[in-house]
Amino acid sequence: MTLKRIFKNLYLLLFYITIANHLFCQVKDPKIFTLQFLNRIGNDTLQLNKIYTNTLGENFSISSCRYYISNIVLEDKKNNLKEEFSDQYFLVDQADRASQTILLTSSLKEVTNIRFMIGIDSIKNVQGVQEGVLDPAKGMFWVWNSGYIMAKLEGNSTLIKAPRHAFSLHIGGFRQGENTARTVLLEFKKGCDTIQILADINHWFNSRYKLPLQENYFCHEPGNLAMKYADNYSTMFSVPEN
Amino acid sequence: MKKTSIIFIILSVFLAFISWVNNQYPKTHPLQFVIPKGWPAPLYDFKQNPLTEEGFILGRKLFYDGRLSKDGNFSCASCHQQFAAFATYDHALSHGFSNSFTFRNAPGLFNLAWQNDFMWDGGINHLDLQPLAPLTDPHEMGENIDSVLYKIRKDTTYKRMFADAFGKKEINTQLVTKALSQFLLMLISADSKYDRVMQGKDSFNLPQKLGYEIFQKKCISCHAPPFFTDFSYRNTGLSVDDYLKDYGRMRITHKRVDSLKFRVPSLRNVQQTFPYAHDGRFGYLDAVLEHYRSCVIHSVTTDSLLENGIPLSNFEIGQIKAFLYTLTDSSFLKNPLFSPPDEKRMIPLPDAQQHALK
Ligand code: HEC
Ligand code: HEC
Repeated sequence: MTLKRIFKNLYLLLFYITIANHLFCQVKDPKIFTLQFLNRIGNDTLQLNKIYTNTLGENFSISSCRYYISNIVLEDKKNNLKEEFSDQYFLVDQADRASQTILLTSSLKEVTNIRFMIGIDSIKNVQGVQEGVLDPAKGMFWVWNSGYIMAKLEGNSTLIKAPRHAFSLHIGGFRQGENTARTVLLEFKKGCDTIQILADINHWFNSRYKLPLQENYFCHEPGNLAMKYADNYSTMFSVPEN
Repeated sequence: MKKTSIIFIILSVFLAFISWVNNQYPKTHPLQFVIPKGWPAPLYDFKQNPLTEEGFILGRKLFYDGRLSKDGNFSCASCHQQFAAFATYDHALSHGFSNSFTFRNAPGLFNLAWQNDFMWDGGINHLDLQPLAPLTDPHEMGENIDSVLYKIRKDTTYKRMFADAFGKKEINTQLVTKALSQFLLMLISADSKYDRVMQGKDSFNLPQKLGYEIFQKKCISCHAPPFFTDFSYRNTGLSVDDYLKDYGRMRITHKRVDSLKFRVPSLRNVQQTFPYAHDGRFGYLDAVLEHYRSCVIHSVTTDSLLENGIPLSNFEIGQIKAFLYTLTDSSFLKNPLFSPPDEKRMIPLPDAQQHALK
C-alpha cells in the first residue's frame, strides 16, 4: 500500500523534473550553422598526390594539408549582433573528410560575415598540454620549442633539389615578432546557414610574397619565412558568389 | 501528500545527488605542496593539475617505466638518476635510443615548480610539455606519442591507476603528462646544510664560511639563492663545440643578442651533477672555476659581469668548493618517496651498452 504510494510520488517527481528541464534549459531558436572548407588548386578541387602546376609555373603534388581554424566570430551586421566561439578549435585535414565541416550552434538569424583565425592564439600556446584537436599527439606541435604548428603543407615537386624532391612546410610561431596566427574576414552577399569556404592552396606560393617551392621547400621553425607563408596563406580563403 | 512520502522523496533526491557527486569525483587523497620557508610562491598553476597521492604515484611509475621508450630501455630515470639529483651521473651527454647521444647534458631535476621555462635554452614553456620532448626525440626515447599511449592503455595496472588519479576512464597525452608533472613537482630540494645554516640550525666551518662570502661577492648575481639561479640566459664565454654547434637561446628566439646564451643552472646538489655546463665539458668543479678565472672568451654577447673573468686565487677556489658542497641535499638524494617503485626491476643503469645487453 505505502509502496504503491511511494511509486506514484516518484512518477510525479519525474514528471516535475521533466517539465522543469524543459522550462529552464530552453535556448532561443538555436540553429546549426555549417562551415565547409574546400581546399582547391585554382579552380580544381584538391586531390592528394595529384600533380598540379602553381601560379609560378612549378609542378607539385600535395601529400598532406592541415590547418587550425579557431576564434570564429559570426556577425549579423544588419542587426548589429555577433557571436564568438572563442574556446573552440578545429583542425581541417585534407585526409579527413569529416574535419572539413565545422558545425556551430548559433542564435543569429542571419550571418552576414565571418571572422576566424587560421592558427592558434598565443594564449593556448603557453598553457601546457591540451586535449582533442589540440593534443600534441596530432603532430601539430613542436616539442623542443613549444608552440603549435598552425598549418602544415607537405608534398613533392620534381624541381626541388632535396631528398625525394620533397617539400615540408610547418608554419608556426606565436611570440611577438614571430606570430603566424592570422585573422581572416569573409563577407557574404546573402545570409545563409551553410557556407562553403574555398581555400586556394596556390596562395601559399604566390600571393603577398612570391615563394617558389624550389627555394623555400623547407620551413620547420618560427621566423621570417614562416611569417611570409602565413601572410600568403591567410589570403587563400574566399566564398563562392552566392 | 503524506509527510512520510515527502521525506522519502527528499531523502532519495539527496542520496541520488550524493552518489552523483561521488561518481564525478572519486576519492583521491590531496597531496600537500609545502613551500620551503622564505621561498616565493611557485609558478606552476596547481589549479589545472591538483596534486594527489594517486597522481604522484602514477607519475613516479611512468618516470621509472622503460616501456615509455621505443626499445623499452630508456625510462626518464635512465637519464635522470636520483643519486645524481636526477641528472645523468658522470655522463657529459646521456645515452639514448639506438646507441645515440643527447644533444646536451642532462640537468638535475628539482624545484621545477618555480621554473617557467625548461631546457638549457628555455625552449619549453610549460612543465607538462617537457616529457614530450624526450619521448619523441630519436636520440632519447625514440617513440611517438600515439604508440606510448597505446602501450599504457593496454596495461591493466595503468588503467586502474589513471582512473584512481583522474577519475576518468580515458588515458590521453594530457593526463600522462599531468601525472609526470605531479611527480616532478614534488622533487623539492631545500634541506641542504646551507639551508639548515640559514635557518640557524647548523653552522658553517671556516672554509665553508669563507667560501660563502666569496660566493656572495662573485657568483650570486647569476646564481642567486634560494634557487642558486636567477633563471636568466647568459653567455659565460665558453667556446663553441665544432660538432654540436649549439648556440643556445638563439635557437629559440632567433635573435643575435641571444647567441651562445644558456640558462644559469642551479648549483643545488652541484657535487652530484657533474659533468658540468650545457654540454658537460667540465668534469670537475675546478675546471669550471678555472674557466671563470682564465678562459672566458670575449664576444659581443659575453656577459658584462665576466668582462675580466672572475679573479679567484687557488685558496678561494678551495673555499668556494667547500661552500658549494654544503648545497648537497642528501635527504633529497635518498628520499625513498622519489625512488623506483620496484627497486629490483627498475634500477636505472648508467650505461646504454649494458641496457642493450639486458
Ligand atoms: C636520453 C636521456 C633522457 C631521457 C630518457 C629523458 N631526459 Fe629529460 N633531459 C635530458 C637532457 C639531455 C635534458 C636537457 C636538454 C636540453 O636542455 O636541451 C633534459 C631536460 C629535462 C627537463 C628540464 C629540466 C630543466 O631544468 O630545464 C625535465 C623536466 C626533464 N628532462 C624531464 C624528463 C622526463 C619526465 C623524462 C621522461 C619522459 C625525461 N626527462 C627523459 C635527457 C633525458
Ligand atoms: C654572469 C653570470 C654568472 C656568474 C657571475 C657565475 N656564473 Fe656560474 N654559470 C652561469 C651560466 C650561464 C652557466 C651555464 C654555462 C653553460 O653551460 O653554457 C654557469 C655554470 C656554472 C656551473 C656548472 C653547473 C652545472 O650544473 O653545469 C658552476 C659549478 C658554476 N657556474 C659556478 C659558479 C661560481 C662558483 C661562480 C662564482 C665564482 C659563478 N658560477 C659565477 C652564469 C654565471
